[in-house]
Amino acid sequence: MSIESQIIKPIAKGIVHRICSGQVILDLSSAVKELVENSLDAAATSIEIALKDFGEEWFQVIDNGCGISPNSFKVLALKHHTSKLSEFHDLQSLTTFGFRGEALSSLCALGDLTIETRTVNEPVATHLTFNHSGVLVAEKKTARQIGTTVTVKKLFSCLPVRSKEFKRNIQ
Amino acid sequence: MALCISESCKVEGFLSKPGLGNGRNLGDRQYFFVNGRPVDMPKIGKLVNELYRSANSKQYPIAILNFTVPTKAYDVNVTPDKRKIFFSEETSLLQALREGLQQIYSPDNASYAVNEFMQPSVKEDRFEVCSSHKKSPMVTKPSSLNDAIPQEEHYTECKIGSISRDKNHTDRNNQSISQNEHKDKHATTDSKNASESDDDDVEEGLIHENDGGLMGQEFTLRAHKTLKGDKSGRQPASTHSALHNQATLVSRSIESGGSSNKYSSDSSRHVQSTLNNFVSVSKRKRDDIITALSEVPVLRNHAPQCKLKNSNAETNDLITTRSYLHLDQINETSKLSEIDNLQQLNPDSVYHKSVNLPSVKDDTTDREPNTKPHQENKTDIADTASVTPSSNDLIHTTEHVLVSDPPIRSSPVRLDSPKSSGQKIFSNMQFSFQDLKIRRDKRLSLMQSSKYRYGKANGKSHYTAATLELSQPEIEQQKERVLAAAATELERLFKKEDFSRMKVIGQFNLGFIIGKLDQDLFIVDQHAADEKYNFECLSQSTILNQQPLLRPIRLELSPEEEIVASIHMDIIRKNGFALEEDPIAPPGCRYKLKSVPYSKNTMFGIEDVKALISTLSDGDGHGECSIIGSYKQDSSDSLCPPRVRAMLASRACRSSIMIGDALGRNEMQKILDHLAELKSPWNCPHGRPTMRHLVDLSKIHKRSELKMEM
Repeated sequence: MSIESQIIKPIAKGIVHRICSGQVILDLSSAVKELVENSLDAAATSIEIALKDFGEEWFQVIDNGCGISPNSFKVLALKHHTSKLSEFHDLQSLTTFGFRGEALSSLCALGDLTIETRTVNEPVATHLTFNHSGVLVAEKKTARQIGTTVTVKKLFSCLPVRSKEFKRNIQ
Repeated sequence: MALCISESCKVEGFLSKPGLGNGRNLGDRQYFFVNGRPVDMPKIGKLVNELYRSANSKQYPIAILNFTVPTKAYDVNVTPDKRKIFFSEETSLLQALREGLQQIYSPDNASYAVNEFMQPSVKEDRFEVCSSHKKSPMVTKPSSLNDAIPQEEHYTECKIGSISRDKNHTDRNNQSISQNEHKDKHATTDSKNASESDDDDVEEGLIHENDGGLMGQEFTLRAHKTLKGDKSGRQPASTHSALHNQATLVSRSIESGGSSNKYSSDSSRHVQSTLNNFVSVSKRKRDDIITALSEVPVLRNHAPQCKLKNSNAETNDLITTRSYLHLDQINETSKLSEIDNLQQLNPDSVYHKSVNLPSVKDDTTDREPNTKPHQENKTDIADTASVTPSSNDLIHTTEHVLVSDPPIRSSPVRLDSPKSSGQKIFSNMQFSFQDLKIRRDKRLSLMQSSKYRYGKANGKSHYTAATLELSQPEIEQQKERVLAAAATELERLFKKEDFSRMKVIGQFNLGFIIGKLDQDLFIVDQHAADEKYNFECLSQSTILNQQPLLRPIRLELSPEEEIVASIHMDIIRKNGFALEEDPIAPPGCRYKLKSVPYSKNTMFGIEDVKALISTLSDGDGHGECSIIGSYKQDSSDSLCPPRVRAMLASRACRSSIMIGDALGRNEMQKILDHLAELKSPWNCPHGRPTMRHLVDLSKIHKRSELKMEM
């Protein structure tokens, strides 16, 4: 192994994304916690959490908050995009639970994220599908009450160690 | 509920009450929030645990605390999962919290749970004994005892204090069992100990007995054993110690002919019931209920209470008995049922009393009092359902059993002399019916105790674990009211100064002093009280002499401990150890022990100074300079190695008044006065409680008034 092959070079963005996502979402409970906090920040009065196979197959967080407006659809799951922080010093006066803009993007990277949402201004809801890098790939209309449903399928499917850990402690 | 305010920060939430049985054996269930965000705060956790140990040295508290801090004063952005927080004013926050908690857990006051008084009204015709069962979140299958008249008494035994969770033993005398309609689970002795009982068990054992000798009488024996597991699904599971109450009711209906032979058989049954001190400690938490942190040990009082209901045997004869039942239970036969106290589950109340719904007894017809506690989902209150359509007698006797180390066998409380024969005596308290009505909203389990038998003057004390019955679905608002009322009834806040106010009534069993304070009777363990006094005197006056060592011993300490030792050199010196520093030596071996303390025959050595240093370094780990351990609060303020304390404790024990010493009135008064001067008079240095509440005299007077009315 020669020295030349050990030049310092930047890590590819996709890999960065996956590495950092693993830090934000540690396990099922932190994933659910993030989604619940998002629901709380959306002033939801009823939050429902559904788990299939204890969350291994998929899990959903359904709320009746304010929903996500269409002009945010494209950037929804992109890293560092948030509606809850605009300046750094806003950190000092935070009123919301979330502020980092990382949870949804991390969930995309670690599983299959789909979101259904409807705001009060829209007549029908929209079902959004994202790929692993957070880019919106599909959008279709659907029926729903006002609020948001976030579904994550097959969490940790690409991280073998964590997935084993997940399955082991699943109960 | 902890509410402390320090500058602009507020803390609110729930904390376990002091007193054994109120904590958990694991440190889980401690949740902290900052402005609603769940965070991990290890320092706060350690602080809470440390302070709680002064109130309950064996367990961990449940803590759910929300800190309201202005957003500028903390940083959330420490870890990606936002669970760690840095505060800008951390030390002052910790300090303020420490002060607040210290006030709450301070040993200046002790609250005692009030015992229910059990009144033995004897009616030769009929006795009703209600078994009590406790309900709390337990479901009890109401057993309709249709034909049984409770006959036996079961006592539940519970150990106090040292037993953390519920431990109940039910002694059951099973006599012939005639029919059991419900599924009775006979509770054999079980102690549910600390294991977190997540399930509530309620067992009701009904034993029906037919007494062949008596004509047409049926006895129902109801033994209830309720165990309460802790329950709240959610959050913090408050630990509940299971309350066990058990009271068996013996009700007997006797034909008007009155057979006194009944008594004899009763007595045999009674013989079995031992006086067991029963302490049920239950801690219930509800989300919406705030647990008040009461002061240190909560003692259970027990007031044996016994309600005897006499009901006429004959159906037609039932006029004499009136039943006070829950609203829905009214039977045509006038049966007197009273629900005796009520205990409720207060958020702060530690004890559950169970009230028994008296079982109905009827000679020919079986009426059973049914107490059917409903199972309550998350709350600790159970509803009692009503009972059989036919007459239901509710008899409540609450029994409390207090256990001190030696179970108190005498029943100091048998106050009533049995009524003269031939009369229907109803000791039912009318007033308590009103109480009952007031408390209808409370859902509590009732526990019932047995009654006294006439003529059995042996020191059987009946202790009833009072349980409160619950009336049917109550109105929420009233519940709080009722809970508050029950709280005052159930607990007595006792201050140290009250000891000097207490008047000595007499000595009991050559081992206990009975004292009267206002309207309450208390029982004081003479040895424990004297021992505590001697201990505190000794710890203040003992001077440890220093013995210089011929050859100084080199101490092997870790570098961290050496630094600690150099910081706290004065404390080490005060304890009698002299350390000499050798600057040339490498770190780890820098100190040499030059002299050691000794006292009479006990010499202290290297291990003691090492223990001292390690306790000092633990304290420093918290950022605090003083360590408050549970034992320390009882002794003087200085920090000392544990062996010193043990030595003082045994010296105090040996030089104190023992159990078995007869005391004159002056001596007894002196003991009580000494207790008032102590720093923390609630437990002897070995852990035994010094005092318990015995009975509330006002209730007795009420009862006797009632009797007069009849």
